[in-house]
Amino acid sequence: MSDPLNFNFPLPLLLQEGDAIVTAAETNSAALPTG
Amino acid sequence: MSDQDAAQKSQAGTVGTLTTEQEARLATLTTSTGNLRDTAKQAFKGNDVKLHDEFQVGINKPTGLAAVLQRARIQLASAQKADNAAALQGKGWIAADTTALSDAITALDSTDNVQEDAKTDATGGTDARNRTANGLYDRLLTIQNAANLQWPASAAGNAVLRAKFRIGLFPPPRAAGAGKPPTPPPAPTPP
Repeated sequence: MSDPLNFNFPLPLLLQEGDAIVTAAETNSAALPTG
Repeated sequence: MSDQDAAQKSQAGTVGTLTTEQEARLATLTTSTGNLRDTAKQAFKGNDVKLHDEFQVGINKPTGLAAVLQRARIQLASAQKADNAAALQGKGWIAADTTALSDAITALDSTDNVQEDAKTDATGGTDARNRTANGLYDRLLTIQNAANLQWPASAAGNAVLRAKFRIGLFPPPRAAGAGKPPTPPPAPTPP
């Protein structure tokens, strides 16, 4: 049995939104807690 | 070219996506099985049940590679029967022809296994992709959670920054009853 995806939206949306989120994190990383 | 040959050539074109090597081996096999059928028709003229059951005369479906191989194996076993072999030899199908058919089956069967292995690999590739996608999804939720804690919706002036982190926008709202629910993102609170 193959590993299922843990979300129910298309992969391109994950990549598109992921790019935006990572860009926001990189832009504002100084304010984010390090972990 | 006999009707049987025509049917087989048509059949060869419908077994799915084959590699060039498989196509060549399938062509060799269908030529051999076609010759055996034509020989059997002469050797066992009028014995329609035998021709149908043992030499697969008139059977062209299913057209998948595994089914083609299965029918070829039935024909091979029939050609190898001593009483059949004698009758076939009387019509020109000799032991070397039976050996050639056996070899053609083995050759195509080996590429069929390769194709099955490739399918397994492809499934493994899907697993790897899904694991990677799930990992990315988890990390994005972690970033969003950190951003939500750092720039809460309750504080004024955070709306633009929260939008940049797609908080409340990603993951997209789930349609009612559609699949497994994703881990909910930090919910924005209206100011």
